[in-house]
This record gives sequence, C-alpha cells and structure tokens, in this order.
Amino acid sequence: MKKLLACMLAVCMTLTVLAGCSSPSSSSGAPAVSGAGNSAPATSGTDKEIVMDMIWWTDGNETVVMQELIDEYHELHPNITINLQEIAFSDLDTKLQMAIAGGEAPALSRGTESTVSRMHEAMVDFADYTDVEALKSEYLESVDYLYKSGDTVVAVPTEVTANGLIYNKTAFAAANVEVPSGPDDIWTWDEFREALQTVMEKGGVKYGLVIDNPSHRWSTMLYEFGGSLSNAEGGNLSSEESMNAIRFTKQLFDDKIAVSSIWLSGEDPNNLFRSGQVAAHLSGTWMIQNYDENIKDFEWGVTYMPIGTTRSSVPGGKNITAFKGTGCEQEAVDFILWVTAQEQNEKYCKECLFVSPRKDNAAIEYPVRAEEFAIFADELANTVPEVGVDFSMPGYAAVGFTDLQNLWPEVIAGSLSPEDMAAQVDADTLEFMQENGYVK
Amino acid sequence: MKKQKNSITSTEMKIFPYLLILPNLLIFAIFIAVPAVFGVAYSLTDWGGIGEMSFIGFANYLKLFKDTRFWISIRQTFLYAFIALPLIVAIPLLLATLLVKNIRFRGMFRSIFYWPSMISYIVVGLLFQFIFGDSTGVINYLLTRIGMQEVSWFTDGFNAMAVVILASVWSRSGFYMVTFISGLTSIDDTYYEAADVDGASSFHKFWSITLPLLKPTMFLVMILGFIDLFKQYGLVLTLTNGGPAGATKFAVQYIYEEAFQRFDLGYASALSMVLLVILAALTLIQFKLNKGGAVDE
Repeated sequence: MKKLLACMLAVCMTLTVLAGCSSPSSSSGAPAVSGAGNSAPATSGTDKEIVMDMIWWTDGNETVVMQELIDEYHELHPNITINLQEIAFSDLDTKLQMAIAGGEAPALSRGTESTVSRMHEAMVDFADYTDVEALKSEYLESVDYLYKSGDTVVAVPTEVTANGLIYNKTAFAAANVEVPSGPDDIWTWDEFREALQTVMEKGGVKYGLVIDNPSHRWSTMLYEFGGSLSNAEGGNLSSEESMNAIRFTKQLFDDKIAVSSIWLSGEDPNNLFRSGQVAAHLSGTWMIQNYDENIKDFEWGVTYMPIGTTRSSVPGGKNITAFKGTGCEQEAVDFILWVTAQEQNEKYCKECLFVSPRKDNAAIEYPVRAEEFAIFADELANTVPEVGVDFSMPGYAAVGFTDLQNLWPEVIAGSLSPEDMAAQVDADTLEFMQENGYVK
Repeated sequence: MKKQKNSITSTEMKIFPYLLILPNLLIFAIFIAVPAVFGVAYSLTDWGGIGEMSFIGFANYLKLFKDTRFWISIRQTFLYAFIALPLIVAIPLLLATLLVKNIRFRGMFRSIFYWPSMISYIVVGLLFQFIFGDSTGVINYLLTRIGMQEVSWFTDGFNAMAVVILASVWSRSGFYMVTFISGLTSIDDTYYEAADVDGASSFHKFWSITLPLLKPTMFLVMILGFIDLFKQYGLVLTLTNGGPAGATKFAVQYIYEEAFQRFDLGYASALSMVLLVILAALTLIQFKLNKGGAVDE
C-alpha cells in the first residue's frame, strides 16, 4: 500500500509540475499559433476564421488611427481578426527576431527601412501574392529603400519621414536670434553653433542641442559635411569630409552645447526638449504630432538644417510587412494592400501628421502645422545621393549603424579617438561589402 | 496466511528519491540543459537568427579571445559584482539582525525593506534614472535650485558605476534580509542563553554564535547574490544603457547586443558559453572555500 501511495505521490507531483508548466503555454497555445497567423489554409476569399497578430509601436496617435482602420477592415471581412500588439520601438528587432527564429513569426508587423535591411529573408515576397509592378507604380521612386530588398518587394510603405531641426521658438525669440527665413537664407554650421550659444546665454535654456542618436540622426550631419559611410571602394568614414563632420560634432559635445547624456547613458531627448530646457532638437517629422499634442509651455517650430558643403536630410519611413510561414500570408498581404490604398493611407497620414509615400497622396491638406511640413519636404528634396548608396545595402544597418551607436559614446567620453572610430567603422564596412559582393 | 508488507523495499527506497526529483529534473532539462546544448551547437555556426546557418568550427571562440570589448565588459562585470556582493551580504544581514529582535513596528519595517525587491529591475532602473538623471533628474534639479553645481551621475564612469551598485543593493537587500531572518530564527536560543551565563558581550555572541551558525545561509546568499549580479542586465539597460562609453556595460548586455543588434547569434552563443564557464568556475570556488556552507564543528 505504501509502495502504491509513494508511486502515486511521485506521479502526481510530476504531473502537477508539468501541468503548471504547460498550463500557461497551453492557454496561450492557440493564440500563439494564431500569432503566426493560424493554421487556416492560405487561400483568400474563404470564410474561415482568420486571426492575425500585428506587431506595432507608436510615436504619437498611430495606434488609435490604425485600430480604426482595422475595425473598418473587420466590418468588411468579418472572418478576419487582427490583434494589434503594441511594443516599444526599441524592442522591435528583438521581438521579431526571437519570433522568427522560434517559428512563431507574427502575421503582420510595422517596420522601418532598418527592419527591411535586417529581416528581409523572413519577409514574404509580394510578387507571390500580388502584381508588384502595379504596386511599385503607386509609390515614389525615392522610397524604394523602404520596402524593397534588392528587386524584391517585401513590404509596403505607409509614411515617409525626414530628419530635420525642431527648435524652441520662445527661447530663440527671448535671445533675439532669428532662424533662416527660407531655403535661400540657410545658416552654416558655424552660424548655427553661435546661435545656439547665444540662445543658451540669453534665451533661458540650459542646453543647446539634443541629437536623438549617434547613428541615423547623426548621419544627417555626416552627409551635410560631404561625408558618407561607404563608397564604391568600401568604408568612407575616414575621408576628410566625414572626419570634418565627426570633429565638428565632437566639438559641440566638448563645448557642452550638445547634451552628452543622450548618447552616453540613454537619457530621453524628447522628454528633455519637451521640458523646455533645450534650444534645438535634431529629430524628424514623426515628432510633429507628439510635440503638437504635448508641448504647451512654450512655442516650438521647425527650421532649416544648417548647410555644410551641401544640404541634406536623411529620409526614413515606416512600412507594413508580412512574414513567411505563418499560414495566412495571402490574408496578410490582402490587408496590407487594403490599409495602404489611397483612401486609407490618406486618413492615416492626415490624422497622424505624416508625409505619404504614395504618388496620389502628395497633396494631403493637414489640419495643423502645414508650414513645418513644407520645411521638412524641402529638406527631403535636398537629400544627397550618398544616402541612397549607404541605405541600399540590405543588412548593412546592423553593421554601420550599430558601430556608430557603440563607438560614438567612446569618442565623446574620450576613450577612443575620432580617427580610430572611423578606421574601425571603415574596416567593418569593407568586410561587409566584401562578404556581400559589393566590392571585390 | 499472506504476509503483509509494512515497509518499502530497499529497491523501492533507491527509486523513490529519483521519482521525487524527476519534476525538477524535467524542468531543468527542458528549460536549461536542452537550450544549453543548442547554445553549444549555435556557437559553432555563423547563424544570424534568420536564414541558413553554416558550421564554422571554433572560429567564434577564436574571435572572442581577440574581442577587447567583450573582455572589458567581463572586467566591468567583475568589478561591479565584487563591490556590490559584500554590500548585498552585509546590509541585509544588518537589517535582519535588527529586525529579528522584538521591536515595535517590526512587521512594518520588514515590509518597507522588503518592498523594493518586489519591483522589477526595469522599473528600478527607471526610478533611479528619474532621481539621478543628469539633465532631468530630481537631485540635479535640487542642487541647481540651491545654487550648487550639477553632478555628472551618468556621464562620469565612476559615478555611473556607483549609482548602478546603489540601485542593485537597494533593490535586492530586502530579499536577502528575509533569507537572513529565516536563518537567524532557526538558531537555537540556548546558545545565547549559555553565552549570557558566561557574560559574553553582544559582539561576542554575534561573532562566535550567530555568524558560524549562519554560515549555510550566508553561503546561499553569496551564491545567489553573485549569480544575480553577474547576470545583471535589465537594471543597467534602463539606468545607464551600459554607458558612459561602456563603463557599466556588463557581459550579458554585450552578448545581447551581439545577438540582437549585430544579428550574430552564433558569436553571441559562444560568448554565452564563456560566461557559463566563468560562472560555473566561480561558483565551484565559492563552494570549495565555504565547504558547501557546512557549519564548523
């Protein structure tokens, strides 16, 4: 009897523990499958229930607008349910990579040009599901980097962004410093630095400039000084033009005009600018909606980026993509094509204050901040071709931008010289380009 | 007449313990051992997390020996762990010694000191960022209000490390305090009564009775605390993001960046294996030095 009891006890304990482990996963097991689309056949037009997860993040009110569009789609297709899963933008790459590696890729995800560069292998080829020539004809040629990997269409763009300069109007006015009045009156970087110093002294702000990050946002300065990350031979960060950009930037930090804690310890540049303590923020179009809604204590505006040897912005943007192996690729693509169509995209861009990448949505009338949009559009129009060269190499973002992100803080802290940083980035760029056949 | 068996046989006695540990063994195998084996396999490939993987032998291990930044992150991890560990043992022990006595509001004090350990490291990081932030922190705001110079909490390597250690100790002390309280209450009062008869001072009682009998608990706290500190990630990510310039970038964050920023999962797996070996070796050394936490006769 004791033997029997002992065995039963052991078996019960084993089952209890195993049940405890499997219970949460089994309760989420079905949705986990649905997270990968679901097991429904990949045929469009059937009435079979389809549940799709869509990874999403927001800079402003995009979640609200996208949810409205999803609800509208659900009314048109009652058998299609899309769950918007909101995450932090900083978690996007990790979340997607883990899901893809674990065979649980989401059916849909919002992404950037960087997502295309890093994860294009796992994304669906739209040519398998729709007429990509017709699709491509609807979008501006300049946004190819946003949705194409080589010649393959792996996503559909939703909005275009441009890097640019947002400034504290109240502080500039208090310091009696004027910003450029138009594209024919652009300030130089030296003039801009002097202006920031004056605003810091007389405008009632503690800091001159916040630059979001040392990779994508800083690269605007790199291109304006005539530099670039790569050229036909390999890395180009050690070139004289690129080094001028690096040295000028370092000087801004050494003179305590630029806020070093943003790059050194991850302090939030948006919060800092919103606090009214900073004269200018090198950011982009995506902040317009956010600042329009949240800044009430002072006036802010958008002005022209200073000119180096040339003017330039760095275009960016967002897209929506679908992943392979989810079992509902066709349904995912159908939704993407619907939500990015002219009417839906107009609603999305207008309400979120975004620039549309669609040719037929070029003349959206925004309810607010039309003047700021005009300046960003002008910056975008002056983007140099070198940007396209650096951004057109799939997978390069994980090398070049990660290097800048990791090495710039060491340069600011003085533990690495600008020349050594440039040499290291160039070496990694050359290695990447050789491995991927861009140079011999 | 059939003979009744009143006790389990020796064979059954041999099997029974294994049946009892089977559940934990399965959990360990599924969630620790199998992934570790996969980790070893990945470390021999150039897998990027997506797409095909190719076998590259020990190339990742050869690469890591030349990776200066990885070894700097290991050095910083040791520095952090060796400074924080004594504090994580001493402060909870002090708190436990005080709060094991019959004082007023003992339960309330225990709850207050335990409360931080219920907060996730991510939130602790955000909380300390709010307090110490260079440009947006409360302390620097107050300093400037009274006309004093701001302190570079997170843009100076020494200060940043000090804040990370402070945050770690603050967030973990409550947990280890409870562990020590449990150890202290299990010590038989007759030892202290005998010491009282001999006229021993409080310090002598603590030194000669409490500390030796608390050795197993101390050993447990040291092992758990060390592993906890060595794997630190969430707190530094939100507090300093590894900055300034890598001063608080510990090994786990470095491995994470290799895996999810550079998309080099093969290499990151090799780094993880090295971390595993270091942790295992250090635990073994601690085990030997402490004689497995055995109380001296």
